[in-house]
Amino acid sequence: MSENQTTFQFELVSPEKKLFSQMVWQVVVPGDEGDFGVRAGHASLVSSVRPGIVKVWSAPGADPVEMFVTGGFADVSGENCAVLAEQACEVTELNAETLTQEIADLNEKLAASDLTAPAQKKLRNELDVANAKLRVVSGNAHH
Amino acid sequence: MASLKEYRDRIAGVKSTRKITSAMKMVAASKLKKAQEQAEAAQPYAQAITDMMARVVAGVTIGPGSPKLLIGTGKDKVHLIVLVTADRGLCGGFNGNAIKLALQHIRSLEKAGRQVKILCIGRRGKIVLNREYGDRIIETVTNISGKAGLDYDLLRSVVEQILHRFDDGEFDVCSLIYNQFFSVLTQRPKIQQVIPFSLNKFDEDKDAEDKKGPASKYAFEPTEEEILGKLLPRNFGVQVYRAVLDSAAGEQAARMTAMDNATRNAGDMISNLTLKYNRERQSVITSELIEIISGAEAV
Repeated sequence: MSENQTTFQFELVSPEKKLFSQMVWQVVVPGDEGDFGVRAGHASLVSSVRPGIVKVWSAPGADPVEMFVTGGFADVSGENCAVLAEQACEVTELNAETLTQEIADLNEKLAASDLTAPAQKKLRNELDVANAKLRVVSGNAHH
Repeated sequence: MASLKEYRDRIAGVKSTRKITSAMKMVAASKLKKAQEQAEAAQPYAQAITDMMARVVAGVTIGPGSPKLLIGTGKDKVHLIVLVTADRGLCGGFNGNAIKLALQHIRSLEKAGRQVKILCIGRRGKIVLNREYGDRIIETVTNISGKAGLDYDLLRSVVEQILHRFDDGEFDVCSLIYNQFFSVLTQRPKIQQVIPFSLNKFDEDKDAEDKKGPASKYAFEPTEEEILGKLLPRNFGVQVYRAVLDSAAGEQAARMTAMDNATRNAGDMISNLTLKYNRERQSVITSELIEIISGAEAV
């Protein structure tokens, strides 16, 4: 099983569901202290994750699958790597226009004065997530 | 002996009850499917975070500076009990079992001189505990699993609130009481201590690892303390989340079973009543006939 030496099990899970689980060749995770790449046999590591994009290559030279995460943890051990995201979705699902619209809507709602504290907090959270998503999308466009 | 009309009315009444219970059973079955899917979808994350906790905690040196969520406040005076029940009844012994366990737990804690605070998730638990321990209830959260499944935002705010109270030193130990979902037919009430994080389970693993030597030392990024500081509240949230999901699935399963039984009982009752009704009808006919015949004979 020579293949097992170059690939490893990668999982991306959020509390709502398991988004990704298969053998991959390389993963790049947006750690709190900078992006880091993981390949088979990586030293054991536990890291916190900042909002950003997780890139997954199933084989050398293949196009990476990109997934957006809103922070969480990465757990790397010899044979597998797991990213525990608070929220996650595929980058292709993100769209700058709808996100800008969403942010505008959320700001409008936040401006309303008759909000209760928890409702306001909820909207703020949504706004933070939407902003992080937008940053990712527009960051991509520049590359 | 009841009159024929009374029998007819009773049969009609039981029939409409059966209609309701069988409809409720059907609704519970479809909700159960959804709730079960949601509970299963959350399983990988819960498992992953538990594994990670185990590994991180095994590698951490515990000192006075460790997070309070891990080592506790050093006291064992005030207990917070989070009781997870359903908002509605008509689901057999589901709520009753959890509440009974909670009452036992509260009594034994108070007997041992501890102060008890209660947080109810779900209306049924509150209603019952209110009678005896109304002054201990600090908060009640209802409508956590609505039509669209679980309300994550509401749950998140509950978790934050509990953590906030812990930071403020309002309690030392927190336990969850909820119905664990084993299968559609079995849900068992369970007490789970969540704060401080119970280490016992991992101590054995740690010993085993120590013997083997530092085979898999973990690197932490940024630092051990920071990771632990973020991981512990997250883990607590996941435990609460899992309890609520289990309870939501269990509620529907228990209701489905209870309503299935009720529908069957209503069916039995209808056939019993129909039998009695027919017997009564025949005896009425017989006595009418006797009256006619004896009248004719007398002429």
